[in-house]
Amino acid sequence: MIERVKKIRAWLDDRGGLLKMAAPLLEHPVPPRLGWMYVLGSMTLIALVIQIFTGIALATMYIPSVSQAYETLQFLTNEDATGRLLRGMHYWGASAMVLCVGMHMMQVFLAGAYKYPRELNWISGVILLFLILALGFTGQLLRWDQNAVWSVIVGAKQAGKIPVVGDALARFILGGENMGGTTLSRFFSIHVFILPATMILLLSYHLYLVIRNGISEPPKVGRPVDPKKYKEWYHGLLQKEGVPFWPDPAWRDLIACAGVIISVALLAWFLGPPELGSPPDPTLIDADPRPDWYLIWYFALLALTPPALENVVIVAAPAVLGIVLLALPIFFNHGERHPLRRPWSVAIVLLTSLTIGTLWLKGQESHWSPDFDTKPLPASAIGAESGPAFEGARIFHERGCQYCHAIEGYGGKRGPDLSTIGDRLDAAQLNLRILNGANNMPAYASSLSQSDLDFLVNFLLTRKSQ
Amino acid sequence: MTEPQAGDSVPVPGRRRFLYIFSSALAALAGLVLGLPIVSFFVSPAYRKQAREWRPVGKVDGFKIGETVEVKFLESDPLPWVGQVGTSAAWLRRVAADEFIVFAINCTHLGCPVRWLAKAELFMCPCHGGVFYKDGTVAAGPPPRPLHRYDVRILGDQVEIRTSPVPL
Repeated sequence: MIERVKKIRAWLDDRGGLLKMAAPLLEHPVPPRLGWMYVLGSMTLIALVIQIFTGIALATMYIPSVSQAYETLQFLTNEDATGRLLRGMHYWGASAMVLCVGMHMMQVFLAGAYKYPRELNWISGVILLFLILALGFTGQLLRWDQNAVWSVIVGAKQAGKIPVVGDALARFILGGENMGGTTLSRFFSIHVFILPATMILLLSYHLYLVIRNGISEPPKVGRPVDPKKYKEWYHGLLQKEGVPFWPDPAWRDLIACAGVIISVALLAWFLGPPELGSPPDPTLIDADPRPDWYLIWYFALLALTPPALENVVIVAAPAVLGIVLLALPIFFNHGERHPLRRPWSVAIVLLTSLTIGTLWLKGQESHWSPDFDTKPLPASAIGAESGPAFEGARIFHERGCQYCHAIEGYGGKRGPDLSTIGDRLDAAQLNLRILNGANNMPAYASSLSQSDLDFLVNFLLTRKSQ
Repeated sequence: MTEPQAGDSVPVPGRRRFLYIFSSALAALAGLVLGLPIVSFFVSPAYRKQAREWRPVGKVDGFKIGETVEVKFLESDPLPWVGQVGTSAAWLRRVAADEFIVFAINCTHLGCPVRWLAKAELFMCPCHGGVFYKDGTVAAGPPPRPLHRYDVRILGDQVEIRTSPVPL
C-alpha cells in the first residue's frame, strides 16, 4: 500500500512537479531561535483563509440585493444552524484578522524588521493592513440591517469631506446621489471580488518577499543593520546556523494557526454572529449606527475631536498616517533593531496602544450620545411624590434634559452629572444657564414656559449632597 | 557587419521594430477595450445626476401648525428592485398656514438620522450628540451647519417636496 502511494507520489512529482516546487519553500533555511513572536504573520494568514472559505460558503446563500439581503441573513442566522456558525466564524475570523495584523505590525515595528532589505515587505504589509480594514468595513455593510444602511451614509459623508474628489467619492460609495438599488451590490462586489483579489495578489508578493529576503533574525542589542554588509552577513548566518523552515520553526506556526481556527470556531459556536438590527429601511430613524468593535476607537475619535479639527482628523490624518507608515522603511532602513536601543519606537507603540485603547473604552461608553432610553426619575430619587420638585423632575425628563444629564444614576452622560447641582449653582445661575444654554448645551428660552422653568429650577435646587 | 539577405529567417530590424510597436499597441488597445467599459460602468454612479422630482408627502390639512412630523417619500429614479431602500424620510414642520419647512433627517456632522424630541423642541443625533433647534440651526455638539432643507411647495391640497441628493 505504502509502496503504491510512493509510486503515485513519484509519478505526480515527475509529471507535475508540485512537490519539487514546494520543497524549497518548506526547506528553505531560516535563522535559528525565531520564537513565538514570529507566528503572528501566519496567524493573520490563516484568519484570511478562514474568511475566504466561510465567505465562499456564505455567498452560496446570501443574495446581494437591497431588498433581499436582510431576509437571507435572517434565514442564515435563525433558521440554519450551520449558516449561523459560518456567519459567526466569518465575523470572529474578521476580528482575528484585524487583531493579528495589528499585533504582527507592532512586532515587526518593535523588532525593526522593516529595515534593509525588507522595506518592501513592510510597505506591502501596510497596504494589506488598509485592505483588511476596508474588508472589515465593507463586510459590516453586507449585514444590511439598519445599522449597515446608516453606516453607508456615514461612510459617504466622511468621504465627502475630502477636497476636490470628495463628492464624486461619496456618490461612488452610495452608487448614486442617494442610497439605491445598486448600493449593496457594489459593496458586495468590492468585498467579495475586488478587495480579496487585490489582497491575494499583494499577499502573494508579500510572502514571496518573505522568502526572497529571508525571515528577519531576532534583533540583538548592539547589532545594527548596515545595508552594505547585511546581505552577506545574513547569508553567512543562514549557512552557519540556519535551520529548515519545516519542521523547525513551522511547528509553532501550525500550533498558532490551529489555535486561531479553534478559537474562532469556539467563539462562533458560543457567542454566535453579531445580531441583526432592524430591517434596512431608511425611514426607520431610531437608528444608532456604530462600527464593529475594531473601529470603535475611530468612532470615538470623531466624537471627541473639536469641530474645527474634524476635517483634519477625517481627511488629513489618515493620509498622513498612510504616508508616514509607507515612508518609514525608506527613511529608517538601517541602524539598531533591538527595541532596547530604540526607545522612541517603544514609546510610539506604547502611545499608540494607549491612545487606541483609551478611545476604544470611550467608544464603548459613548458618553457623548444622548440616552434616549432613560426612564423618568423615580420618586425615591426625586425625594417627593408630588409638588414642585416632582413636577420639575417630570419636565427634566420630558424636555430632554435627562438625555444628557444624569441625576442619581438616571440619565445620559453627555453633560455634567446634576445630582448635586444645587450645591454649585443658585436659582439665578440656573435660570441663566437653562434659558441661554451653555457650552455644548442648547438654549431653552424659546421653548420653555415660565412655570415650567420655575418647576425645573426648583427641582434642580433640591439636588444637594446632603 | 553584413546586411541580412532576402530569405533570412532573422527579421530585418525595421520589421522587428514594426512588430514590436504593432503588437504592443494592439495589446494596449485590447486592454482598453476590456478595461474602459468595466471602469466606466463601475465609476459612472459617481457622475450620474439624478432627476429632481416633486413628491407628495401629505395633505396640507394633515399637518398642524407648529408641529414637526416625519414624512416619507420615494427617491427619484428608483430601480425596480430597490424595495424599501428607495424610500427616504424627512422632518416636516408646518410653520404657518401656508409655510412649511422640510429638513433632511441627516445630521450635518456625519449623516446619522436625527430624532425629533417634540417636548424639548430639539433634534438630537444619536451618533455624536449633535443638537439642532426646531428651525434646524445648530444648538450644540459637533455639527458644522444647520440641517439641510428640501425645497417644498403646496400643489392643490398636497404638500410636495423636491428630492435631492443625500446632503454631504
